[in-house]
Amino acid sequence: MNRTSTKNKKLFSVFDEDGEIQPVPASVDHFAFLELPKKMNINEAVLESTFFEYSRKLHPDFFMNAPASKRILSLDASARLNAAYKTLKDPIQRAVYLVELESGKLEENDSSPPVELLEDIFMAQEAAADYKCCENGGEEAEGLRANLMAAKECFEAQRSGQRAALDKLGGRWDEAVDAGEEPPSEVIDKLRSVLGLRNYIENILRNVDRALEEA
Amino acid sequence: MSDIIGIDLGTTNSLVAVMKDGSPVVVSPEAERSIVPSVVSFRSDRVLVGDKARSDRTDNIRNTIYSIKRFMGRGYNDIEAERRHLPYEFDSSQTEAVFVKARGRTYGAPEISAIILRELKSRAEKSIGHRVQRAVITVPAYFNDAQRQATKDAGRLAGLDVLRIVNEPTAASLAYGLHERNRGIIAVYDLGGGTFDISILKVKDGVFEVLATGGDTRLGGDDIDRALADYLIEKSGVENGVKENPEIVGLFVLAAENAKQDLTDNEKTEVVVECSGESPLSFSQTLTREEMEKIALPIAERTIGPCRRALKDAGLATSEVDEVVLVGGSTRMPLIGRMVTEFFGKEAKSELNPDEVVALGAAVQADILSGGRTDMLLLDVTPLSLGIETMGGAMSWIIPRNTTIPTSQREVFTTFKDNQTGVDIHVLQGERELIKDNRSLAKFVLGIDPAPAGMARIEVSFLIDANGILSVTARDLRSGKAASVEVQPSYGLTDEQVEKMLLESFEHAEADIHARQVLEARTEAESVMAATMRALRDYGEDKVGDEERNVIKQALSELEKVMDGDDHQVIRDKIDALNEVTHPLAERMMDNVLKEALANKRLTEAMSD
Repeated sequence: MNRTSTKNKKLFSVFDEDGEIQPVPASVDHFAFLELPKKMNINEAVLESTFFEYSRKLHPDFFMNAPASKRILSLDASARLNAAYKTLKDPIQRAVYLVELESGKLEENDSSPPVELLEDIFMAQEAAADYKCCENGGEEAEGLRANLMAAKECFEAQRSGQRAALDKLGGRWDEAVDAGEEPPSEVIDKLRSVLGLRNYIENILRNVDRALEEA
Repeated sequence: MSDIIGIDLGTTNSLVAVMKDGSPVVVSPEAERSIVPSVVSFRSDRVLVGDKARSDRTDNIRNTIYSIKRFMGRGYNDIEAERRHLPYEFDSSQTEAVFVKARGRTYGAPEISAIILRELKSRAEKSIGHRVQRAVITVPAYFNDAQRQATKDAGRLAGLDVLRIVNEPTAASLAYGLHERNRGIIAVYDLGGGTFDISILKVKDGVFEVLATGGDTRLGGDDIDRALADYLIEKSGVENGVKENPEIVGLFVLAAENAKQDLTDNEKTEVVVECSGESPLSFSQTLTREEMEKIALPIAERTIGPCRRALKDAGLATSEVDEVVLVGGSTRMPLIGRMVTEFFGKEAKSELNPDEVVALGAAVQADILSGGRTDMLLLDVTPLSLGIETMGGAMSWIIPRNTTIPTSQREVFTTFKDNQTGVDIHVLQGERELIKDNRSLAKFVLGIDPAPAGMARIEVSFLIDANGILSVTARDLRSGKAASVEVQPSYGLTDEQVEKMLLESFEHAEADIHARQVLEARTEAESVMAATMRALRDYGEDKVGDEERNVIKQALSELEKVMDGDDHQVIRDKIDALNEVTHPLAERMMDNVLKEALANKRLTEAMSD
């Protein structure tokens, strides 16, 4: 299952001994690029200051008068840095990235929604569609809006439940990493299922929000 | 170190600023205002710019062009609503870009902007005492790719090397942050003559990080003037038929502008419109601030939606904003100040002159680019999501809005039919689900070697640079060769049109043409170098044999050596030499990548020819 090995691997650095920018191969992951431990919980203040520090060394603004080859390296490395920061600063995106790094892409239909959620999903989609269709105001619209708000609350509660589950699994992941072990496959499997389900919930909430906004 | 000037190219007014003794200052020639109204008047014997041209809005009304910024990077059919209020003529025969007519000649929008830029350039040259060639030009943060490109074209037409396109609100934040490098979360509310921007930034340790931006590029003080003009026209009782006369409308718009400005400090003003032409008219009326605000309110309120969305995108509540800064002449209206203060729940600031602050910030950014200042860094974002057309006219997003730039994203495309030799890719910007509701940027045709359906693997890299401008490169993953990308911009001028304008421009002597050939050879050299370096990186430098790698590196460094020279032919020769030595590598990459492509890889499928 585990494709990446941390053993006997030379640590990557975007700067060589002279502080010059090096090309960043695609095989270098975001954690390695920023020289951060591959953990679910990272110190966000450290991440931010690392991002600033790297930006100050890599940004194209500071290479305007440099030779073309250095300008190109700066542009590519900055794009790479921005992608890394964007992914790692958000706990969910970070979790998805780490899980995918460890155990392969999460496909959209990786996990089917659990049966107990099916009814709620159906109701929420229905409420969103009804509310979008009903153009005239009045009591009917009020009622439909109330339905939609109820659906929103239900899924927001689901979302916070998910978040708690993620935090717990993330903690177990990090414990293993701290102990110098691979994350247990049971934790990886659970994370995959939680993250897969999360897509459904996010999609529904997005739909509901859009319906509320459009009206 | 050569000077780089900072230019605020506005809808209504423009300014240029330079660095003096470590501080940005607005260039203001003796006996003249520092503000240059963005107005160009074509008289029979000469061309006037700025204040001199502004008075021609009554005397030479059909040949005096203003508000040209509204038409940058737009098409003729986009501007129907705006055209009605403008007394000058448009060329309806060209639809991909806006062309105006004056004294029998047509001018593309960037050509008019270039005339204004030339005036600013010459002012800066007089002020610092020597020639200037490089500039930073600001644009509304919410400008799309075509509008940014058009601004760059204008700079080029004015003989300027535009080193950077900077967003106006972020430029303003640089001017504000010059002396205080830890300001927390700031919201910059920028309402200009024709555009509105809201940017939310985090300012910490000298890093100005834009968290989110929003806006409307067709919303500004101009719109209030026009609404007010319509109101005054109704009140004047001029008859139908006369009402639509562009000259009459132009006079009322001018009167409305003046009245609105008067009402900033006064509770009421006298509006006078007189015309002795074919339809004589004499109108005089008292207008109160309250009356004016009633008309302005619905327009001013349109700025609140983007503010709300930008905050949401930044993941912040209004209470988390530490400081609100007002930028742009239109924020002088008391109504705007009240509204912004109410929305954010804190007093909006305007310590720096809201007309000058953007140009000052542009000069600061110019200073950073020239290496003069290293303690400040601006990290901006792309304002609009970028995507491509997929089946059924739906939008498939590649780069979401508010992504920090520079940013790049790769997508792999394949073919549907056997021996298909091209794949069409349609690139758009916008937030809507259907492509018909978004802004078309360009169409690309990828050249493909004939192969069975689904075998082709073309990797396309979308790169948005620090100017917020997109460039696209493509690579055939089977052969490793660069794939051809034929770009057809949907709006704005083609390269050929810009070329033609340059040639037509009487100011361009042979020396300039030569300089341009050199510049173009350099640009090409740079892109070939980038492609080679990326190919080496992706293939793995260690996998290339020592000898071959040395030959390639040698060719790279030879090209780099001649790049700064003045002979474009020499540069082109070295480009050819580099292409020659990288050929075997490209061919060998085929096998390697073919394996990878056959592995389980998700592909984005494109529309077929």
